[in-house]
Amino acid sequence: MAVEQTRGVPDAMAADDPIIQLRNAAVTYDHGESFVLDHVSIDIERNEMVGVVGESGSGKSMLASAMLDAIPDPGLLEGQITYTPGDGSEIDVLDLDDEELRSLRWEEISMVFQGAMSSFNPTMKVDDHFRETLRAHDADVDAGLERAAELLSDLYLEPERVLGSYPHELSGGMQQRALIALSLVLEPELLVMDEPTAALDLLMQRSILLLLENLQEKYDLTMVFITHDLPLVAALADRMAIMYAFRLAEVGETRDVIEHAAHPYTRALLNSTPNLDAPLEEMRPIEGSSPAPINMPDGCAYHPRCPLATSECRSDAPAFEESGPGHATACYHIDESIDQIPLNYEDMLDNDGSQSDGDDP
Amino acid sequence: MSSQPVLSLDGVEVHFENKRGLLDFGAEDETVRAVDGVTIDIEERDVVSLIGESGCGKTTLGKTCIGLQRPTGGTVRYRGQDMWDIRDGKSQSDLEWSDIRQSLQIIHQDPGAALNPNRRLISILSEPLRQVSPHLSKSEKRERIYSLLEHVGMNPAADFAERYPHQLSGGEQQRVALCRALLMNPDVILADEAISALDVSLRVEMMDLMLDLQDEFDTSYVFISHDLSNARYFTEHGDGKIGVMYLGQLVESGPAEQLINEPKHPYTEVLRWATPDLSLQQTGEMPMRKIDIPDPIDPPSGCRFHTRCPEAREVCRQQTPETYQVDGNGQRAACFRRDESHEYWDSPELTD
Amino acid sequence: MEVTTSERLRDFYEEFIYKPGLVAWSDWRTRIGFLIALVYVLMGTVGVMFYRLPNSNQSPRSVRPFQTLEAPLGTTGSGVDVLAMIIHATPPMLLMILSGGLFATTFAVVVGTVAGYKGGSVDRGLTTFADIAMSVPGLPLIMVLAIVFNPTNPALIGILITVNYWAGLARAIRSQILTLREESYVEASRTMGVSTMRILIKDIIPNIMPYVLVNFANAARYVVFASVGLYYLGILPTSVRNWGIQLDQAYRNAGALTGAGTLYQLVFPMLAIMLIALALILLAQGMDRVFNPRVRTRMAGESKSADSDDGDDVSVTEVLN
Repeated sequence: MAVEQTRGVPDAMAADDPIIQLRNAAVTYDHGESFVLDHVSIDIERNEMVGVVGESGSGKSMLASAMLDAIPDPGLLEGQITYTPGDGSEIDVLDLDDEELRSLRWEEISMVFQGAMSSFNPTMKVDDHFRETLRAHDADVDAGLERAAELLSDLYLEPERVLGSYPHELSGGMQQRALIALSLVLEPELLVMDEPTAALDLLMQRSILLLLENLQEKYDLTMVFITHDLPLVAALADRMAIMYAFRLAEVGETRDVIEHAAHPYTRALLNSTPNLDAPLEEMRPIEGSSPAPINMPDGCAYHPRCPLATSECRSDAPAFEESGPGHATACYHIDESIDQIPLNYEDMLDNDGSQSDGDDP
Repeated sequence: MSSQPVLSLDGVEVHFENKRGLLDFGAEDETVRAVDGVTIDIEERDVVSLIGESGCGKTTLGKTCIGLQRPTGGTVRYRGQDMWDIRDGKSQSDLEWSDIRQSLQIIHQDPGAALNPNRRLISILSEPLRQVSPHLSKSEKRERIYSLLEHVGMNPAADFAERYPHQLSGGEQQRVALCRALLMNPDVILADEAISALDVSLRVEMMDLMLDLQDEFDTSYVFISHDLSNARYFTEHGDGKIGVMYLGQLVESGPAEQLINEPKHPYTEVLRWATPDLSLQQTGEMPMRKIDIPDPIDPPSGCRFHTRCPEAREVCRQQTPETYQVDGNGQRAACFRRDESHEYWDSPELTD
Repeated sequence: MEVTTSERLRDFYEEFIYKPGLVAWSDWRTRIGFLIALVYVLMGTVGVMFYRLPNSNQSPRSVRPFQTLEAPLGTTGSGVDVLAMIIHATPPMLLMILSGGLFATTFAVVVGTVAGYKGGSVDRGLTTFADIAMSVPGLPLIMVLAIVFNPTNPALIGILITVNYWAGLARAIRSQILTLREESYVEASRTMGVSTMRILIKDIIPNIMPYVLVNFANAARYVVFASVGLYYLGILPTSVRNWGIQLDQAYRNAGALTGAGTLYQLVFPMLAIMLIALALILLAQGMDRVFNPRVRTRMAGESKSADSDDGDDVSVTEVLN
């Protein structure tokens, strides 16, 4: 069941200098009977890093694909997606023809998919991948390869060694880094990454995040990082968007979302993720499971699992309320949420000397 | 309760040979030293977590513990008896290989691949009972299976039992794999990244379930994980110890909270740095000197971590540290920094 | 609680007959294949009982097809009823096809599975055996064996024809087994101490059944065409009825391809051959769905899980992440 969630975009989601804006982006596979991306509106500010967090089946990958109009067939994408390259023009992504879309992808908006292994052609060396991409976009191959070498060394890889290797000769972490370099070789403005570190080791994950931070500074990039691992992206992201059941649940600056999460789902998610700081006794799993697109409940998608659900929640999906500066949450019971669902690491936050908002015990 | 450990590994080595092909002239046979001299005990009702990066040998070590992998060196003892001697028929003991085989079980990482897609749950779960309690009638088996399914939260059991694996969610499939292992009444269960494939919010639930059933079934766990947070949760709740592995060796081990809060090996500190938490402290620079792990075929000399260790010194390249006791609680670390009188402190730092 | 015998029988019926039947019937391919095969079975059982045996001069000579009810498909130059020849060749053909197909497939499965699963010297021995069988040229071998043994039993002939056909299939199955062997659920069974035989029967073979079925159909078709060819060449004894003999006679005696107006004597046995081959292909393709547990449960209306999806259409949950 579709829902018009945003009647106007609250300030939290409107950006001053947006690089890409989504309004009511929706993806359906059965002509509107069910949506795997349910009318999501969000602005991405230029040069920021946004973390989109959600579990599997939350629609987060759809959100990523929507930005490039790359929804797999036979899905239909509706809504409004506006890309602003920064030279004053505005591009309606859904309005582009195939040729324009091709040049938009990779030259302006680039994407790194999950599982680097399958993104590479096993019969081609890495430098051939770069050449192929450069030629496909009519770019200068020599200059491009120079850029590639620089990107690879930014990513702590040896350019000659990596370029001359076949993908299978590199470790998983190296492949993923090479893929990141490939996605940046045409100097895009926006980089969208879907679980880029999912299959990798702890050390490699953290290292890649650091490298991404460096790349963002060096090349003035905007990044959207999609993951199910909230703590992973929290260290890096300026803002976080939490998705549940194909809709946005909460958006805000990272520190706000971590310390003052307003949506009951966000709070439950934070409580159920084992992390090194939370006291062990208080980790709780979330009861129930997220709905399938065909079985979306009326009203708020989270109400079957929410301890605070009232009749209001069961009939009408909540609009976004501001729960703080730059912090928007789609919930009718923000205050009760903060009162009644304690975060198990709140003590740690106070110890860090961060702001207490008076609600903590 | 005897104080003898259920499993006792002593100097265990598992080396894999990569034979060179016919046309690779002059090349030597490559040996992958997956496990290179590990000594560890697993007690009754114990929880031992093995953490480390991929390629560190934790899965190989785990499988060696439960007898699925034959060591190329060292001994593996089950209740004091060398299990491979028993397997080869060289032992005098009256313990049989089939008894040992049944008491050491496994839960795999991918629940979807761990269950035969062509068998219903009732058939899958009858298999262990067939092995350990062959005298049970079909209806007795059914009863036991139903009661265990209900115990793990799969209600109504009769309905679930008739399903095929593809009709279950990932979390449910993993619970079935757990039931299958428990129905063998094992002494030790190897949980090989058993929660890594589950959704984040389901992981705590699964770990809780495993620990709940530990008392009832009187079993120990060897828990393999690349995620320090999960290992911490599981080990601390199970009152066990964590073992940190690097390139086939155990570099530190000890009780969970202690090891995490006061790591005594630089590699453990690096792992801790890499584990995301919600404190939002600045990540700072990478503590390791290099991102990539060295090739396990040709591991670094001396202390294997010296190529990446932020505290490495010249002597670390030349000598291999032994395992030092850190305190009375069983925390041990293989690092010269634990020895105040070692020449490490006079040696020049490595800076490459 | 007790499970009564009647419940057990009902379970068995449902599991092995009703549900597979449902799935099989739902696919148009199986339906058509089954119907065609049914025609042949009827021809070979009921038909031979009621229709006359072929004999010279049982009807006027060289009658064209669809002229008389007495010889609906016409007669040959010696007055033999074409339809009678086709019908009475059916039982030996069916027997030959079945025995050849079953032999080749079963032998290949046994050899391939044991070799693939056991590994080591057993594998090497069996693979060498299969390799030798594969490299001996098939046709000369069959010819020699046919001449030496002069078999008249269609079942034996079927086995003779596939005497080295099984080898290629055995190798293919061995490769499948090598992959399956590494599956987690097989390792789990090994860890539980399940005997090798039981692992093969319960875990491994059911998961290669689709492949085996398709290859059974292929082997059966091979028997059809090989036998036809061999009879046409006169290598196998003509005392056994076979559509190939009909082809041979039509070609040589009646000059069917020379425009003497006797083409029908060639066409009808050819159709008989083609249609059984077609039926076998269709059946195999349709049957492999039976071994897919997702399809089986969907058909029987069992799928209740919220995220159940069948392997055929791209369902929404498969597209996410």
